[in-house]
This record gives sequence, structure tokens and C-alpha cells, in this order.
Amino acid sequence: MRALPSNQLNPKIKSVWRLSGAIWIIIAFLCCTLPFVFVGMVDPYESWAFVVAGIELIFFLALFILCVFILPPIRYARWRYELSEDFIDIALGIVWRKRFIIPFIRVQNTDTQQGPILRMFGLSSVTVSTAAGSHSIPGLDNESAEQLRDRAAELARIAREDI
Amino acid sequence: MSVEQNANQNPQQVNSAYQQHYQAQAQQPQQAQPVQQVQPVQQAQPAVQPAAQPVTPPAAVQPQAQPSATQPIAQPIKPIQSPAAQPVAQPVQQVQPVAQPQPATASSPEGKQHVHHSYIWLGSLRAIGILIIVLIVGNIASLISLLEEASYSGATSVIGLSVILGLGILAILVIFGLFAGFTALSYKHLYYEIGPSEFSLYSGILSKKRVHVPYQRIQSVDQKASLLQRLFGVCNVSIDTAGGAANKAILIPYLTKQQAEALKSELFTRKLALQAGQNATAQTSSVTQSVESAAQQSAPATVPADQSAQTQSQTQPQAQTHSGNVLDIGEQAWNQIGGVFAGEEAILGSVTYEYGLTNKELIFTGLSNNSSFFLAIVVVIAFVLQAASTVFEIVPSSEDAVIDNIAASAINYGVAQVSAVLIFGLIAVALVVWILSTLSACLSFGGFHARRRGERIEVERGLLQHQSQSVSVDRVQSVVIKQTFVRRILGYCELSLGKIDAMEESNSSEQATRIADQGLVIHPFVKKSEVPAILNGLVPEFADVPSEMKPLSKKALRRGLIRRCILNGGGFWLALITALTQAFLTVIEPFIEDPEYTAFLIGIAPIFGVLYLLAVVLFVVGIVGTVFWARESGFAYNRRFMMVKNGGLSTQSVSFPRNKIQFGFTRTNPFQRVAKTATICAVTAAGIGGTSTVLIDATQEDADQWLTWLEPHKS
Repeated sequence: MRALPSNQLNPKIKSVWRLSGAIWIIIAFLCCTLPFVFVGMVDPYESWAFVVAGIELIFFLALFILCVFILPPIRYARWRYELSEDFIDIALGIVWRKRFIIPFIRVQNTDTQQGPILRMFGLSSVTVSTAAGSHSIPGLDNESAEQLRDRAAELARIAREDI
Repeated sequence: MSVEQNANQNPQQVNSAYQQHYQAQAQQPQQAQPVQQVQPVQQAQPAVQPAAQPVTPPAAVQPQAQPSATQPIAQPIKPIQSPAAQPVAQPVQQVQPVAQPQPATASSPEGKQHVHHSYIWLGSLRAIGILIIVLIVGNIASLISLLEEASYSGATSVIGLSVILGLGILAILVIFGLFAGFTALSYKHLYYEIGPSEFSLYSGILSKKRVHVPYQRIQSVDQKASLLQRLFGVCNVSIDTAGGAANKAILIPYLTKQQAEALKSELFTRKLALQAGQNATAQTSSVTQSVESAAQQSAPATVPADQSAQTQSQTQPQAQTHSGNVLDIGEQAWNQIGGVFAGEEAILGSVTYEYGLTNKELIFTGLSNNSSFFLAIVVVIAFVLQAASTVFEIVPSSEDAVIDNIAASAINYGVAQVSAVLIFGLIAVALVVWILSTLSACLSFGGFHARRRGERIEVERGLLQHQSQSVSVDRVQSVVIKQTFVRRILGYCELSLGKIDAMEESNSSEQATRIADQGLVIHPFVKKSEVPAILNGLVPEFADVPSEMKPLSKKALRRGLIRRCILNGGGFWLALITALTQAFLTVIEPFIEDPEYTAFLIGIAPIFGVLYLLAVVLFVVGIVGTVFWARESGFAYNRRFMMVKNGGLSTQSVSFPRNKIQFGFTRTNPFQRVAKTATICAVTAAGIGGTSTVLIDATQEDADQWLTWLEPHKS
């Protein structure tokens, strides 16, 4: 068995995942449930609407617990990366586990992105693109993101221009 | 005509100027003393605008050569000669002054150049043709009724009909005029320019659009011509730029053959010159590498060129030509006629390896064509639907006429009769479609030629619709050997090269259209044993593919059977659905209590039987395929190459060099982790947006080792 890459993401990423997961689930929950609640409130005879809303509540509660409390720590534990001299090594996935090797000389460009939630925690995510798809490493602190980007840019310059 | 004949008779000579240019470029970095001689054959005229020269080679110019300021403008690139190649090259160029890679299609290569005027009339003719067809198809019913009416009611309506026809023709003429006017206008605003450092295409009447391509970014210049375009000797040229995520091709419509060839040679000459210039000044390691590899490749290529300069009778000593086929005659005829505006041919570089298709290969290409099979199936399905709908229309009408009891048997009888007719009809239609598509496949591979010219691989094909594509060998991503079931039985396979495909950006419509997604077919039907020879001749860079296969894990067969025969197994699901439907229909029978329904159930019983049979056949085929797959699949790699083979009833093996792998990964699901297997996946940039080559269930160890192999070596 190949040893896992050494670096883990910044631990704050768990909070980021929790927060963004919570936001999405709440929005989806409201969109799905509110209409039924309104129907139930407007028309007292339509009590089935509350039943539907209740089922949805249970479903979304389960989803909420799964996505906010259970998955982020596991995902954090599984998400590993390593920037070596010449390549990026990424291991991720809980059920379907993947292991990527991305040579730096194939990287065409690197982007750093920072959404509002990531910014709140002082993190940024780095996306490396090759000629056949891109990969992003979420939750790097700004310093290592810069470092990664510089490294990729430097090696991309050495690499041959043509594919 | 005479010019063309000359060019045809002495292709090697013709090529040599360009060839040695290649060579000189290539040898430049290796030479101890970087002395270049400017070719004295070109009689210099006093320079009008020395600034117009795009590139002057930075190397020292010898005193006996013309001072660089007096270079003719029309010759933007000086064919540089290395001293070694000098004595041979000089006489050749004097013999064949025609064949120099002159950029001059028009007198001023730097100015605007319009496309051919057939853009206007041929383009609008095509549009009108489509319009007429659409009109006729759309109004066929009313036309027929009009005709019927005319035949019934004599002269008066004949007059009416002719008036209507006249009006229709007039309308079409008016539309044609409008369309032609519009195209003429857009023709006026459509031109290209060969600038000092980039190629630019301008288009658009109101919203102007310009596309600029730096010469270094140009990867290939391909041609495509429809039948009409071929008749008039024009073609569409698409310029493909360097790959990447936003890979686009520029389409220049309606260039004459001569213009297209000249444009091609011009663009490549400039690209080479720019690269050489860059090389001499910058000496970056990467460019040196590529040029060195170019030198290695062109070194053997120069030998036949030099030989043939001395012995003119031997035209192509090394080029291997397989015996041709029937359609080659047609192709030759085309080449001789050339089309009305074609102009003379320009030839770039010398050919080191070339082959066509033999009669047998051509016919079998058509016969074993996958798309023909697919087409046949589509037609059959359409036919079945059509037939089914007519049957259902007929049945209720017959029901009225007979008594209930007899009705059922009558229906059964009718269905049986209809289905017998149907089956024969289906077979006939499928046969006809198959023959037709075989013919069309033969035509589309008629005149097939693949050749290696310098660093490029060129493929031409199509008797009616012609297309010529080329790809530089550095840009070949993978070699794919495909065997469909039929080909596998015969022991033949299809050879193709994976290359980065581009979204074609045509000037007239903003829409980007997708072009060929199956790579570049370099041989549609070749005996398995001849593959190494062909690869060795055409892409010797790929000859060193690994052969020692790492087989799949032992567990792969069991997992494969579950995956392919049950989870994704068409037979299993078909049987399941059929059984469920049948059970449902039988269960509800007592509740309906209708003799007609019972008769219906009896009537459709054979259909269920057929479905079960089909399911069993699919299931068995799936099992056989999986057993083959588990036995034959595997992957291999050596220092530079990787090869993945996926077996089964139809097999595909893909080989690619390590440096074309953009990234690779392994993937495991919980079951695979228990079975200690892993899926490996190598992603190359071939196609649009990349291609993944996947092998399911290699052993975990092999997969891990492969990942280690994938890591770049410490430089």
C-alpha cells in the first residue's frame, strides 16, 4: 500500500464545509417545505400538507446531521495532499477513494479563489488546470496557496510550450 | 498542366528545397560553427521595404552571400542552407525554380487576401439548394394534391399550377438574389492577412470580428472539400492552434486549392523561421529539444531526397506503396482534373512513408463499418415503430367487421401475417441500408492515403467529399488500435492517432461546431500483424511500446461478471422487466374478466418469448465478453510509454507516451478495497477536453507501482 500524502488541509476547512453545507441544506429545506406549510396554514382541512412537511423535516434533519456533523471530519481525515518537487499528490474520497498524481509540468495555469465563507476563515482554494481537466485543493491557508501557485507557475515556465 | 505534371513527376526534387530548409533549421543548434549561407540562387532585387521581412536569421551571413538588406520582399524566409547540404541543394533548385516555397499566391503576401469568389455563388447555391429541399419536403402533400387536381380537371388548373410554379420559382430567384447579395457583401468583408508575426482573419459586416493567430501557435492546416467544392477546385481550410482548454480552429471558407496549399506552406515556413530565430537568440532548452528531435526525424528523410536528385528516375525509393484499389483511379482522375480553379499543386517536404488501401481492405472497411451497422439498426427501429403504428391502426378497424369470438383469432392471424411481412421487410431494408452505407464508407475512404512527411503525418481521404488532415508528430497523444467484433474475427483492426481536437470556429456562424471526435484514422482496416510495420513507418516515435502486460487481478472476473452481466447487463434487466410486466398482466387478468383481454394475452405471449430469448442471448454474450475481457485486459509500461488494453468481444488498446499523460489517478470503491483491486485511469489531452483511458480492477500493487511510475523523475 502506497503511503498517504503527508499534508492535511487546514483544520478550519471543517468549519467551512459545515457552514456551507448547513446553508445549502437550510435553503433547500425552506424551498421544499414552505409551500406545504403555507397550504396547511391557509386551508385547515388540508392537514396532509403538514404530514408532508414533517416528513421533509425528518429527511432534511437527517441530511443536516450527516453533512454537518458526520461527514466533514471524515472527509477532512481522508483529504490529503502533498506538494513535492515535481508533482502534486492528492488522496481524497470516503467511499470512492481516489489518488491523483498531477505533474507540475503539465499544469497550464493555477487560480486562487476565495469565496465569502473561505475568506471568513482566512483560507483560499487553489485550482490547478491541465490540458485535460482541473483539480482544486480547498482550504489552504493563504501562505501555502501562494507557495503552490508560485511553484506551479515556475515549473510551467520550464515545461515545453506544446502539449 | 505542364507545371503540375512536372511537380508530380519529381516530387522529391520539388521537395528538396523545403526539405533542406527543414533540415537546416534543425541542424542549426548542433553545428559547431553557426555559419549560414544565404542561398545565392534567388536573384536579389534592390529592397523596397526591408522592414517587411518577418525574420532575418540572426546567424552570421557570409560575405559571398547577398547582403541581407537586398533580400527580395516576396521571399520572407531565406531558405537557409547548412554547408553540408549546400552542394546537393544548389543544382536542384536551379532545375526546379517553380517549386520553391514561394509565399506569393498573390503578388503581395502582406496585404489583404480575399477568399475565392465562388464563396458568393457556390455558397448561396448551396443555401438555395437546402431551401428548395426544405420547401419541397415541407409542402410535398399540397404539391401532390395540386398535381392530382391538375390531372383530373384539365387545362384550367394546369394554367393555375404553372402560375403557382412560376411564382414559386420567382420567389426562389428573389431569395437567391437577396442571399447572393448578402454573401457578396460578407465576401467583401471577409479577408485574411499574413502579417509579420501573426495570421489574421477579418470577417463580419456589421459586427466585425478579427482573429489573430501568432505563427508559433499554428499546429495544423487542414483542408476539407464537399463534392461541389471539389468540382470547382476550392476547399475550406481550417487552421488549428496549439491545444489547451480553449482550443479553437479557425475556418477559412472557399480557398482555391492553390491558395490553400500556398497558405499552408507560407504559414509553416513562417512558423519554422520564427522558431529558429527564437532558438538562435534565446537557446531555451525546450526549443532546442524539439528542434533536435526534428533533426533526428528529418535526417533519414533527407537521404532519398539527395539520391533522387542524382538519379531522377527513382522517384520514391523508400516510400512504401501498397498496391492501390479501384477507387484510387477515381482519385487520380480527380487529381488530374483538379477542379476548375484548383491551380497548380505545391508540395511541402519529402515523403518518407506512404500507403493506401488495397481493394480488399477498402471493401472490408465498408463492410465492417460500425456506423453502417448503427445506421441499419436505427433504420430498423424507425421502421418497426412505423409498422407498429400502422398495425395498431388496422386492428381496430377489422374488429368492427367480425364477431367478438372470431375477432381474437383474426387479430392473431393478421398480426402473424403482418409480422411475417414485417420481418422480411426489415431484413430487406437492413440489407439495403447496409449496402448503401458500405458504399458510402467505401467512397469516404476512397483515395485514402496516409503519409509521413518530415515531422508531420498527413491523411487524405474521400472520393467525393475530400478531406486532408495533418498532425505534427509531437502533437500525437496516443495510438489507438481498435477491433470491433467483426474485425476481431477476421483478425484485422483499425488504427488511429489520438490528437487534440479543436472546436471549429466558422466565420459565418458564431456557433462552434464539433469536428471529428474519433481522432485521426491512419488505417481503417489493417491486418493485426502489419500494425508494427505501419507504426514503424508512420510514427517511429511510437514503435517502442511496452509489451509485457500486467494482467488484471484474479478477482476481476468475478467482479466483472457481476458488473457487466448484472448491474450493467442489458440481458438481465430486459429479462427482469419482461418478467415483471408479464406477471403484472397475468395477475390483473382475473380482475378484468374480458375475453378480448385474454385473447390479447395469448396473442402477445410469443412477444414475451422473443424478449426472453433476446435476454438470454444478451446475457450469454455478456458472459463471453466478460470472460474475454478478464483474460485479455491489462496494462503495461516501460520507461517512456504506457499501454492499456481493454479486451472483450471488441478490443481496444491505447498506447501513449508518459509525457502526454496530463494526470493519472487510481480509484477504489469499498468492494475493490476488499478484493485488493483498483481502477487506474490515465488522462491525456486527446479529443476535446481530454480523454481518460480506464482499466478496471488491476491489482492494488500494480496500481500503486503505476502511480509511482507516473511521478516525474527528479530532474
